[in-house]
Order: sequence, then structure tokens, then C-alpha cells
Amino acid sequence: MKTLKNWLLSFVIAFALFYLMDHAIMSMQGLPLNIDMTPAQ
Amino acid sequence: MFTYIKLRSPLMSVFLLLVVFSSLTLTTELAWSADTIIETAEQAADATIEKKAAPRMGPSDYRQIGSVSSRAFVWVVAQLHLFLAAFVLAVPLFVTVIEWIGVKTGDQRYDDMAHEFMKVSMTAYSLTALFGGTLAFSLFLLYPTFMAYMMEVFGNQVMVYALLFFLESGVLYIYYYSWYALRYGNKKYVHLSLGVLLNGVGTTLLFVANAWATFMMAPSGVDEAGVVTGGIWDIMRGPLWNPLNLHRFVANIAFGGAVVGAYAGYKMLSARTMAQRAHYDWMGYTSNFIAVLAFLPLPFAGYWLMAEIYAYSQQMGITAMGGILAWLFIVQAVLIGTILLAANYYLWNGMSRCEGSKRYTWLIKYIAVTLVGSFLIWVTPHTLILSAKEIADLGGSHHPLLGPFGIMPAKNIAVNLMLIGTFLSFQLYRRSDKEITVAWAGFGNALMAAIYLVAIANVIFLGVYYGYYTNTVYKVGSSVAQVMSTLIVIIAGVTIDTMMFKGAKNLPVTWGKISNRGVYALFALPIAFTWLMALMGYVRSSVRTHWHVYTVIKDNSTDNFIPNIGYAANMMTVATVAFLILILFIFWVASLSETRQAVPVQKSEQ
Repeated sequence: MKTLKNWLLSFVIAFALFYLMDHAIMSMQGLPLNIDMTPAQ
Repeated sequence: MFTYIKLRSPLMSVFLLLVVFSSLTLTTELAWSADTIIETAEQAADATIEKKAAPRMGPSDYRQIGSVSSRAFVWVVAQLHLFLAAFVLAVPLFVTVIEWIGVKTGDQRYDDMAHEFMKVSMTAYSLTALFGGTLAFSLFLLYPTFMAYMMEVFGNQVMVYALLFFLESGVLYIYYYSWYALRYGNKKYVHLSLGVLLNGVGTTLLFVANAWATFMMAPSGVDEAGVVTGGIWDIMRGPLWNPLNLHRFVANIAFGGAVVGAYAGYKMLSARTMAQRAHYDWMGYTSNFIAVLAFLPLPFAGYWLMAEIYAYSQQMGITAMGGILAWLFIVQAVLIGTILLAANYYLWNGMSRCEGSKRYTWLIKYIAVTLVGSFLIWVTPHTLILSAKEIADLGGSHHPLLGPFGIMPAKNIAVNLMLIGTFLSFQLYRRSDKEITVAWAGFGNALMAAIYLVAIANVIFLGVYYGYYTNTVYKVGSSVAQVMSTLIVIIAGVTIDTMMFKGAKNLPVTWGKISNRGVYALFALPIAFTWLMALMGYVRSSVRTHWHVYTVIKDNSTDNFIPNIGYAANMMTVATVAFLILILFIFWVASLSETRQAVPVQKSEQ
């Protein structure tokens, strides 16, 4: 059970990290994204 | 003369250090306060000399030695000078770091290794100066009018370069020859300070010289006619100066690491005792570590340089990546692929030094498949050289299935996956001799694995979705996020491992226990690096096309064209082979100093 929790938590952290990073990097270049990652412009 | 200076007394050491520091202060003031000092001198000169426009070059402005092409001659000499300069500027950088590690850990092996690295670079230093002098003479002899203009533009700055070179030589000799005189206690810190000073001067020297190359590519501080309108600082800080500074600085370290790695490999293979083999095995591993560590961020520095080239002139960017020179980027992919495959192969072989590596060897096949697959995508050209019949059979100049692999989004995915794979090899190697004991090891491992998997998915998603299904602006923008994904893996890997290694149990490592086959990879690295430098240096220089100084001085010589790829490849190969011969000479000289002739037996004793 602990192992499963570790893996789930790890993937949640990793997904959040890269999802936010993608938004931040694209926005910084003047290329905002929608929540579903499609171009906002 | 520094050979004879005895640095035995602390007073003498401090005095020498003060002299060197004062010289550096003076030099850096000259270099970096150029706005005030040189501009004042120029203003004074302006009163009497009218500023000249760039010359319009004609046949009489060019000279030739017999029937030898001036361009070919300067090409090879400049390339050899750059190879050697890159090597001698890079080695003291990591030597100082290794020396510092030796001080912090108290392990004398680091100090001995750092000294041996320096020994190899000392012979190269003289050769660098010789080729530098030959290059300067060649340029003034063969391109006198052009060089007169460059002297007019850069003025006193070239004397700053000369002064820095004197300083570099002085500090280098003191640093090397005082190694054993300043080895322990506070004296060691004096020696380390000399190392920092040496690297400060060397890096400044590199940046000053880079300004000449970037001025020719993207002139600044002059008007359209080439008349100097700004101070020396305006001339130096062109749009490409800092990208080139960063790129060359990082590339030099990778190159230097690769060359000393070959030295270690050569010494290891010729070792006669197990102790020697173990020492050079460790030295080879350290060199490979330096080379690959510096190599990992290099594509990103290159990316910045190319982005700035495009921003400065789209025409120049297209010449580089969309015209005849574009094919050379395919060759570049082959060479970078060779470097990464060789570096990974060496690491995988090196894992046999430690029994603990058996926990991770199952992952190697997946890394190998990723590397080879990515390598094949990277070398897939966009357009193919085809006959009319082949185009008809294919249904166009692009292959229906492989065509999509020929464009940048696919290449960006490939290169990022190769870098992530290489870092994974490194991480596995570093973990091989550790038994992690922290309580949160399970979570740490899961988090690291999740970061790898999500990063790989993110790199592929960004490349495929924005690269093929959105507009160009998003395609280009997403490549930055791809780079960041790779950097996050590297930063997270180093951070998590550092935290997890606290209190870890060290497993035994048997240095010298690596197959000879693995050691040969250490020779592949410098060969590929050297060729790569020759190749990309040629591309960087050729983007000026028929201009000596882009848009300011036209090249009206008989060589004012970009040669065909075959000719260029031969020229690069000549320079590469010549450098490798020089390197063998350097290794031989370095080994010669260890050779002791046996005392002759007197006849009377026989």
C-alpha cells in the first residue's frame, strides 16, 4: 500500500511540475496555453 | 625563467601573487573600462586622423603563397590554433576544480591527477602560441588590407589581448611549476588562488578573441560604410558575442575533458602494473565525466547562438540551416550521436568495476534502444539527393514515412531523449557503488522514475503536438519547454541523489576492472569532438558567405564562395588528423618526462 502511495504521489508531483512548467515557459514567450494545452492564441 | 624561481618562502609567494593580481587589475581595467581608456585615446586620435570607411577589396588586396589557396592555408592554421587554444584554456578550468576537491576531501590522488592533467597541457601551450603566431603572420601577409581595417576597428584592444597573453603565460608557468612548492596548508590556498587567476585571465582572453569573430559575422559599432561610430565596447558587444562566449566556453571544457580522457586511456592500455592501470582508469573516468557533463548543456548553448543568428539576420540563419550548410547539420548529428554512444558505452562498461551495478544493468538495453532510435531520427535528412526517376518512384522529394523525421520537431525530440538517456546512464553509474539507507528511499526512487517518465512523455508531446499540429510560432516556442524538461531531469537527478546519498553505504569499486574495449571509447570521444569543432566552426564562419565582414566588406578574392561539401569535409579532416598527430606528440612528450634512463654501469664494476 505504501509503495502504491509513493508511486501515485510521485506521478502527481511530476505531472504537476511539467504541466506548470509548460504553461510558464510558453507564457513567458508570449504564447499562452489553454487548460487543455491547446494554443490560446 | 619561472622554472628557476623558488617559491619556498611564504613572503615570496604572497609577493608574486600581489604582482600578478596587480597586473590583472590593470589588464581588466584596460579591457573592461575600454569605454573610458580606449575611447579617450580614440577621441585624441580623432582630432588628427579622419575615420576611414571599410576598404573595397580588389585583386591587389589579396596575396598567395605559390599556388596554395590563401583561404585553405589560413583555414587549417586557424583551426589548429583554435583546437589547441580550446584545450589549453579548458584544462586549467577543471584542474583547479579537481585541485579544490583534493583540498576539501584531503585525498592526495585528486592533487596528483590535477597535476598530471596540467602536465599534458603544458606542451600544448607552446604549440598554441606557435600556431597563433603563424596565424597572425599568415593573415597579415595574405590579407593585408582586410587586416589593416580590423586593426583600425579594434585599435588598442589587440594590445590588451597581447598583454593578457603575457599574463596568461606568466601565471600558467607559476601555477604549474609551483605545484609542489605550494602544496600544503595555507600555501595550497595561494596555489588555488593562482589557478582561479589563471582561469580568469584565460577566459578573458577567450572573450576578447571571440569579439573579432563575432564582429565579422554581425558587425556593431560601425555604420553601413564600415566607419567606426562607437567605442570599443560597442564594437565588441555585438549580438552574437555572448552566445559565442558561452558556447565556446562550455564546448572547450567538453573538448579538453575528452582529450585528457584519451591520454588516460592511452596510459591505461600501456600500463604495466595493476596500480598504474587503476590510476589511469580513474583518471579516464574523471575525464569522461568532465567531457559529458560539459557536453550535456552544449546543445542548449548552440540553440541560443543559432536563435541569435536568426534574430540578427534571417538570411544568415537560413544559409546555415536551410541552404547548402544544412547538410552539415546531418553530419553534426552523426558526430554528436557518436559522442553520446561512445560516452554511454564507456559508462556501461565502467559499471563492471562495481558489483552493485548489477541492480541496474537491466535498464541498459532500454537506454541503448532510445539512443539508437533517436540517433537514426536525428540523421534522417529532410530532403534527399535524388535522380528524376527516384523522385518519380518516391512520389516527391520527401519520403512518405520518413519525411516527418526530417524536420526540427523530430530532431528536437531525438536530441532531448538522447540527453535524458545519457544522464540516466550517469545516474545509474553513480548509484552503482552506493547502498542507499535513507528512510524515504522508496519515495525518492519513485519520484525520480516518475520525473524521467513524465519528462520523456512531455518532450514527445511538445514535439509532436506543437511541432506538427500548430503554427510555427508555437512549434519554435515549445522547443524551449523541451529543453527545460531535460534540464529539470538533470537538476532533479543531481538534487535527489545528493539527498539520498547522505549516510549511504559505499560498495567496493575495483578501479582498472574495465574491458579494454570500453577504454577505446575514450579515443572515440576526442576524435568525434575534434571533427565536430572543425565542422561547426566552418559552418559558423561560412554563414558570412561572400563577406569578410558581413554587409560591410565584400570578399572579392578568388575564394569568395562556399565550397562544396566534399571539399569542406576534406579540409576539416586534414585539420582534424593534423591535430590528432599533434596530440600524439603531446602525449609522447608528457610521458617522456616520466622516463628515467638507468644509471650506466661502470666498466670497472663489471
